[in-house]
Amino acid sequence: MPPVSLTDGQAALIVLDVHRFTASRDGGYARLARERGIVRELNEYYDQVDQVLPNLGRLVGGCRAHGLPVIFTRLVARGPSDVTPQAITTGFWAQAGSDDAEFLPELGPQTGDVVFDKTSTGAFTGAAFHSLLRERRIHALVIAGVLANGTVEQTARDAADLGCGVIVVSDACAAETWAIHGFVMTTVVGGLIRTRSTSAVLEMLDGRRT
Amino acid sequence: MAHIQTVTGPIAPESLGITYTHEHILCDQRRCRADGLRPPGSEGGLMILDDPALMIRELSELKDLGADAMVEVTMQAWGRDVAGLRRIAEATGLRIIATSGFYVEQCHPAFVATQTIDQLAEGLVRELTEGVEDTGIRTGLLKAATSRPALEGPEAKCARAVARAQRATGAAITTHTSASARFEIAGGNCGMAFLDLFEAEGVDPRRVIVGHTDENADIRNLVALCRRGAFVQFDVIGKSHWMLDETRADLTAELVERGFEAHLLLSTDRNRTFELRAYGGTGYAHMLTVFMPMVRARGVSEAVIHKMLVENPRRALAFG
Repeated sequence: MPPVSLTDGQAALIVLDVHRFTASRDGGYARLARERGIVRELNEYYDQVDQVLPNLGRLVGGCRAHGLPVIFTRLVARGPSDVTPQAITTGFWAQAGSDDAEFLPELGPQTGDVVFDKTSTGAFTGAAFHSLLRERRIHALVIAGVLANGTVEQTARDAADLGCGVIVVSDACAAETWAIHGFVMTTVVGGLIRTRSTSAVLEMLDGRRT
Repeated sequence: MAHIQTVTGPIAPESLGITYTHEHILCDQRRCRADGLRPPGSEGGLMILDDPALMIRELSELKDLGADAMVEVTMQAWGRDVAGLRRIAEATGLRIIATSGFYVEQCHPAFVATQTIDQLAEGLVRELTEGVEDTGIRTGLLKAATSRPALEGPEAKCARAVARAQRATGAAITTHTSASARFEIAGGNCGMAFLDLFEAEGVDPRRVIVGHTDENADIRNLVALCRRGAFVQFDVIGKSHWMLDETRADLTAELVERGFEAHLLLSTDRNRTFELRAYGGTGYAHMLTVFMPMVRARGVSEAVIHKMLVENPRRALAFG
């Protein structure tokens, strides 16, 4: 596994799809489950979100402090015609301009951060996201967000396919269940992809570990 | 005259007591013709119950808890053993209904590829009316299955054969509707697709049991299935990797509240040794001892519970 550096000016943090749709208990993801009569099934997911949000805050703060670009993605579109068929089938997307498209008060972009609205599960579907990284000469990605067993895994694997070194921040990602979280964090590792905790990434930013 | 066909002979529907409508007692997934990848020499978590003595102990305990009957839905290419089921029924006093039909494509018998739909249907009718092979033991239910979020290929062919056998005999059809992670199948299961295919073949939806609706549920879909006349079966009770029992109980109470109690069937789909009480699992008994109290706690009356466990199975299983 080639080494990955967060201190050479070629790394960025991507916070995937952490907005009200996915991260708020009254957001769209919970609403989909509630409409099905199975909202209780998301208890483990929201338990993880509760634990993940403070870690994301530390991660975002650390990356900003060390000058890494911070990219926030949202699964947002103007309407069904802008969304991938997969997102339409699952209902897993938010209407632009709606409450669901809003970032959380405790975790959102600040001046200098990048907001990337995507209409697909993975960030790299279409060329726009890859172009964004190339323009900024980004070769290493720190990836966190939701859902670990969806956007996070898909984006990590696509990034590695494109040659990026990838760090998935295990305690800054939430999966559908605890069991799935463990499974994803075990199986996603390999090639150009490794997992680290939030604390470990912060130490890497400080140059205190690899 | 309408009857329920058990492996020990026909019985009057009104004599049937508490019935589990989707279970396995003897099954061996190793016999599947092409059941996918697994490590050489490993059972790989396959669905295997192959110890009759163990099953007699397990089922005798269940009978002592008040269960009267069990529908055994193992298919022919997956280790169905009707003679073995009859011996277990005789040893325990539990009434067992065996099933004819087809499980998912990976477990289809080889002749599915070569026979026509009508030939497949004839084979099913023969099992229902004359008996399985040379045993003289008749089956009492039909089964169709899909392994995908759609009905297609050999699985659709088999479903049509099952539908034609239903038309010829009047026996009900139970379905394996597939499932996946939440939100990946619209409505949660393929029940609607099955009803569409069966109705196109002339089957009355009231003779259809949509199974596995508690693996990935959507209350709107469950209501729609009931409105079409089908039975909705919660049959993986206790399997929390699919869904929490609390959610199952919520959905049960919700369907009762909306007036659909005549459509509900309940079961546990035990099919691995580690699920049995003898191995520390929750066993078949879990439904009566753990799940039904959860349903009662949500205000569902004893009369409605009697419907779900006794009267609905009588109606579903009676034919002829």
